[in-house]
Amino acid sequence: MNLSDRSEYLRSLFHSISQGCGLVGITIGGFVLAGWALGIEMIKCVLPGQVAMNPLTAITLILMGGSLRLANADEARARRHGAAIVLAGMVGAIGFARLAASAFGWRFWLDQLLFGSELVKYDPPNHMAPATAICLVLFGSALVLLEVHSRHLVNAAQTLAVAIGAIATFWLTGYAYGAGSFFGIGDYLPMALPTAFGLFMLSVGLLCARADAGLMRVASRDTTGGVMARHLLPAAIAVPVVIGWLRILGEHLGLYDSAIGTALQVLAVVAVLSALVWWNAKLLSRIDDERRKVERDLHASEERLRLTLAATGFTTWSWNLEDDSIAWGDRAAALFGREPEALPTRSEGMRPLLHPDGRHRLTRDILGALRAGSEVDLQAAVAWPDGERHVLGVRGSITRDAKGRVVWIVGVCWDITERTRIAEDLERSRLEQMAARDRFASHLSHELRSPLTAIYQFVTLLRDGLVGAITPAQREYLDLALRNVLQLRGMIGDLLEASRARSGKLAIEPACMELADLVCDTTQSLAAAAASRRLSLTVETPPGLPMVNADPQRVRQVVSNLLENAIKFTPEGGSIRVTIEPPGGRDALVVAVADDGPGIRVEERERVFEQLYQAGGPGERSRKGLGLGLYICRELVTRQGGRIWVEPGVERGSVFRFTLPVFTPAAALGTLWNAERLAVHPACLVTVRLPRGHRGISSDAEEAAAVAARGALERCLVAGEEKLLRSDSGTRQDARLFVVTIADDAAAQRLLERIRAQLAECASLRDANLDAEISMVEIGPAPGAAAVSALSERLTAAIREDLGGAELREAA
Amino acid sequence: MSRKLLVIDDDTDVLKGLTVRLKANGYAVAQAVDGMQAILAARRERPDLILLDIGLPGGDGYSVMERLRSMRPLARIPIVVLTALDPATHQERALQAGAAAFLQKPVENEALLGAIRGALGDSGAPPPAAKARGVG
Repeated sequence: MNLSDRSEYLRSLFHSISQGCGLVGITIGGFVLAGWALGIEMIKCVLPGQVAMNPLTAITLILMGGSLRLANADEARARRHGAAIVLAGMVGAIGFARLAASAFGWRFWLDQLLFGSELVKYDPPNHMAPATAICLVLFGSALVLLEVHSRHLVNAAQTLAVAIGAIATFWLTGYAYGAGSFFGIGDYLPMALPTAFGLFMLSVGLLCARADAGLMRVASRDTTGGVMARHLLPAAIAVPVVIGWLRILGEHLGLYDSAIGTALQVLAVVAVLSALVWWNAKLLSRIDDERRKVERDLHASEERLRLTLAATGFTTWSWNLEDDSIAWGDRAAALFGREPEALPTRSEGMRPLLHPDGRHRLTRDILGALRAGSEVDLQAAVAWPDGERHVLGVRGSITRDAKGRVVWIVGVCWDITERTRIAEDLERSRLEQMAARDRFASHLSHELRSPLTAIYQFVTLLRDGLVGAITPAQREYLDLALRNVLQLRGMIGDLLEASRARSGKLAIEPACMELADLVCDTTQSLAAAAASRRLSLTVETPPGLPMVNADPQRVRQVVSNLLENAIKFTPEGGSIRVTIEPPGGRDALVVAVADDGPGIRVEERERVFEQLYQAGGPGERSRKGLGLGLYICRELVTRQGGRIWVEPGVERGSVFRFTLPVFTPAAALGTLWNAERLAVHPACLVTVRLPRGHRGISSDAEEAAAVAARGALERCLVAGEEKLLRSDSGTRQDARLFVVTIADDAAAQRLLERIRAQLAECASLRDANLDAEISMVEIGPAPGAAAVSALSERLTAAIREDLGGAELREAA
Repeated sequence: MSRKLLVIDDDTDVLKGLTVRLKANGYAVAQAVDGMQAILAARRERPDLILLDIGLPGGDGYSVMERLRSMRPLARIPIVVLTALDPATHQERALQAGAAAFLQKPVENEALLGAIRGALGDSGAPPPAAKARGVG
């Protein structure tokens, strides 16, 4: 049985004893009353010829038993405890009245109340013995003292209980030793036998009622002292009594006379007590041995732990959350660069030890672990006295009680400063390297363009006949040179793009846009190039396509790239088809560029998207570019949430396909678009329209104004509540910006005001003489998931309508 | 009346090529190879449009633009930026600083001529729009 089980067992043992004793008291009282009622002498007196228990005494026994049992009730049951005090008070009052009556010579009539006629049949008439009255007063006081929850009063209560026990024992031994002419006090009767027995049991019950405190504490604990008390005390009380009784018995039977009897008694007591002590000593010795063994094992285990820690550099720590105390292992002080005395023993003492940056994160991590986890695994930045920052790794295990509250955490910590420093340096140098690479590519691209410009200019000047007439052959050669210049220009651009892609600096700004128009536009712009190689170029876009969430400039780049490749690799007279495939339930649109050129071999279909990879194979031109185009395409597509791949064409050639995510408010707005808010507030769509195509304003200036307006809007929006949706409807249309928020009318109006004010202050708009038109539409609210998705569709439709989706599309 | 352009570029070859091309398209052309020359030439020649490479050494390109914008008689002249610098980094900045257009070298002749025509305005009068100043 382990420690806590054993304590539990002892506690319930004493509780049961106390309850049992209370029950005994009640039973005896009840029996005696029955005896009076039914006239059975045996019950009333037990021993023939002896005094009978007074009925009132019987009643008080019942009251005392009941009071004791009530006092043993669970602490929470205040009524029971109140009742116990009341009963005990009554008992004490009865006893006190009896004594007072005797002291002042009053006539005490209470004990004559019941069975009065029977009482007087005795000589002297049966009444409550003074001794009994004294015990009643003692009991009442003892129980009341017990109910007052104070350590000192428990001592007093238990002393009173002992007094009751002593008095009862005195009469009991008297009866046991057959003191025939057992006297009372003056005219008063002795205590009746059942009364003595009942009072004795009740005193035991009183002592056991609060066995965990006061005098009884030592007997109820699971210590060697407790063992001894529980074994020896009963023996120490019972043995002399029994031996005394045996002696008297022997004398009565005439076995020996008084002197020998005394000698025998002494001898017997000595023998029995010595045996008891010896037996108890053996028991305690064995217990002690066991404990020492356990201690030795514990020491050995601790030693092993200490050596392990010394070898690994780990240090232990433990935090007891019940009393907020922290204990540290041996070398903890060294981890903090301080003396052992300076280490805090309470959690608020930890604050000065922690380094300011990282303190918040550390607190957050700890709280998170305390809330839900069973382990602690984190890094803590600590500040040494000289200000230096060190980093410690911390791991620990959390122990919770039955209610899930954290009781204590214990773990190890060790120094990881070097390791973190190396990691940080590595990261820093990686970033520096990327920045350097980026600067290099930028610089390179810049430097290469200048001479290229000069070449282009002079070649075109010659070719255009501005430096003298040229022959057709000369023109042809100059055209060749020009073509290569343009190719070189493309390659320089690719170089810079690829470098950006590698260092993660590709600027991608998703907007909601109509894919079909853009694809048609881009294809159109390459029509001439295709025509020059007698390639047929067609575009097919089904109607009713949803909008996509992508960067129009980048999509244009990808489509151009794929088309340029197709044009480059498809032999003359071939055909190229560009299609947009309908979504068919997927949440993405697929754009396909199919050619009927030589195709790409199976093993190369993955590799063509790698940097600097050029698919081998025959072709008119030996140089095919840097091999960066498809790599850039892949980066651009994947950064926008799509995929790109190549498949063989139906009969021959290749089909390059890439996907772009369909625009949905949920996808574009992220966490802003949450169903809970939508259930309560409508979705407000603010449209800012910037007219375009005005005479006298260059498209660049318009573009700059649009950019400035966008910046101004972004600055005035509340993050997390309002979001700017970019959109692109092609350069032909007015520029449109959308702001979405989910809010009540008042908040939406405030937003409108803010937007108006911000745009009014935008300098670029003013200078370009552009007047922004601002309008707002409220849709919803939408309680329930189905309503939310319907609302999403309506919002998308509203945006689309604003973009003029239906009219935009012209025959491709 | 033929319009006068001021071309500012530190690369003399590019400068020459541009000049020939522009002259062939009917413009009168003045040249400058650095910031100082640029301001002097602008004052002296009062061009209808300035073609500027903001990649002038020493960060001069932007400071030239600033100075031009700050000098009362010159501030109204539209500036078309033609540069080898990367548009991703410089386009927005140039436009905020007051450029009417941004072109990256090497630029096709048609695009260059189109941008110049656009900045001069269809009818030839300088557009009132070309006054954007400062950062918005």
